[in-house]
Amino acid sequence: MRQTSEADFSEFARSAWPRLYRTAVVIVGDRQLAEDLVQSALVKSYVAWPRLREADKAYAYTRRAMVNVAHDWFRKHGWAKESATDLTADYGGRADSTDDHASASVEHLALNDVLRSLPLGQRSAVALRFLDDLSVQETADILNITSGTVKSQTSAALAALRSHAHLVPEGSHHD
Amino acid sequence: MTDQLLEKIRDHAGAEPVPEIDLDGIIRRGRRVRRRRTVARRGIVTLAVGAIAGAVVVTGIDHGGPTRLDASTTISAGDVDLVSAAYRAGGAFSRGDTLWFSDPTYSVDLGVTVQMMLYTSQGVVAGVTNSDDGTARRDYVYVGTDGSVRPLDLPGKVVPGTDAQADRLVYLTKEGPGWRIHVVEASTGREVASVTYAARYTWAGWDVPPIGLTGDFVVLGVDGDQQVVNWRTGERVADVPGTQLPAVGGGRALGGPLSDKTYQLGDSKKLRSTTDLAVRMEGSSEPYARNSLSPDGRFVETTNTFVGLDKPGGPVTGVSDGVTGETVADPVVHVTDVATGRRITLPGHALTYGWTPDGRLMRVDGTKVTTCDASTGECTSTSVPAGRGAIRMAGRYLGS
Repeated sequence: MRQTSEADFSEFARSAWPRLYRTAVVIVGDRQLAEDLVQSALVKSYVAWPRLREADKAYAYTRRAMVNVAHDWFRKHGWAKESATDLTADYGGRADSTDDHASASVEHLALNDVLRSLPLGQRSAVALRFLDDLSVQETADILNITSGTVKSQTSAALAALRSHAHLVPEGSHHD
Repeated sequence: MTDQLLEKIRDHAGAEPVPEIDLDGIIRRGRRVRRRRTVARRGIVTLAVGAIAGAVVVTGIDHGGPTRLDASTTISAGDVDLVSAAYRAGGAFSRGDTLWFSDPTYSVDLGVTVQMMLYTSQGVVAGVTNSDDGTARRDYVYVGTDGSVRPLDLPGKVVPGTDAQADRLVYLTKEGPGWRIHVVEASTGREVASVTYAARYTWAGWDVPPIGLTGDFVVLGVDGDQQVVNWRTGERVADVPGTQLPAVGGGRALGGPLSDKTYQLGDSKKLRSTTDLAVRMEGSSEPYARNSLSPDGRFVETTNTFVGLDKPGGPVTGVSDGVTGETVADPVVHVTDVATGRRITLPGHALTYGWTPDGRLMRVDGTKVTTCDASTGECTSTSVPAGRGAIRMAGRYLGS
């Protein structure tokens, strides 16, 4: 790959990394796995870079590759491999522990636990629809399912999340 | 409440600490993949030069030099099982020199223009050319769902038959008063069987008759009825009625005057008929329908409307009713389950759909590739990156 093209890829990878990583964490529920999967997806983008050129196209391509690799990983390793990661480590060691911070930490963990308890398909639908702001059809394209299935996966995920009362502030009304 | 929940989800994701990207590691791995493909390419080009230089050119065509390959792929070793499964349901499609297996992330760049693709169980047999406009000489290569590319030593102006359920292809060479049937393992190029055969053949313009392959049988489109031969034994079995390009799959073949009957190969037992879908144009005594068999032999697609083209191979100008000749605004295709006789309809005309290896219908609209379940009519779509030229579907006998 020519130098300018590799520089373009590097710039793309650096800018896309945080968003891809955060989406991957929601989908796979494991930080180390998310890191590995997004890196694998970026390797694919590197190989395909001469054809990708535009940043939008490259991002869409890499996101699709990441979702494919993630789903492939779970197919190979089985759903039982969705093991818990100790996510308290980042929060337990902090010196300041104001009520607000403690409450925010509990909320972060609680939402994380609930998200990780969802099936892979629901997590993927939530991540693509609400973190990446994809339409129902765009989400269906990436997950290779029908738009009807995307809608039902999304509804089921949101219903599960709503059912955990501590995630919803007091005084909220059901819509 | 939903808005608050979505805001929480977004805030939650946004609060996730992000580790440093290992950009050097990514680029190193990417370069390794490219280097592996370059070594493979050099080997393949060497093989191509040697193979074609040594081939017996039985059709007498001056080839003028081998097609050079310069292939690369995004498929890694870890993807292979997934790509194989995706390919069977999602088929293959191409644009220019890029071939995709079901999904835009599973691509193989061949460095030569893909003119047509025929299905085998673990990859496609692709007809390719150096010519940018897709004309001129055609060579054949095998492109596997593992991203491998291998030239096939097929002589001259032949169109091979392939088996979508097996790693095999078949082609004919002239021998004496008849031909030699060559059955080849598609992924390796190894010839697994070779038998001689002769029959009367004058009707089509090729040097050798068209040939189909499914399971243990080859079907030859010779004069009179289609002749069926067990390639393992060389034994001729029951003919399939009708003179036509063989349409075979799953141990079955189409036959009859309109190719509207599905026959079981071996005993040529008639399994299903779509004759009731044929129409007669006003003032004509001849019925009309076009039938297509899925590569697994489970479904028949039937159209009975006419498609207008501004020139051969050109864009569709309109679809007209097969009886009245009047324009049809929303034409449909009929899909019949061979085993049960159940039917569905899908929007489209004779040129809309192809097939995937596992019997899903496939269509291309611009950059959107759609596959549909032939039993339920339920469809899913994927988008291909924009680019120059039209997207071709695999599985078309003479190219899409």
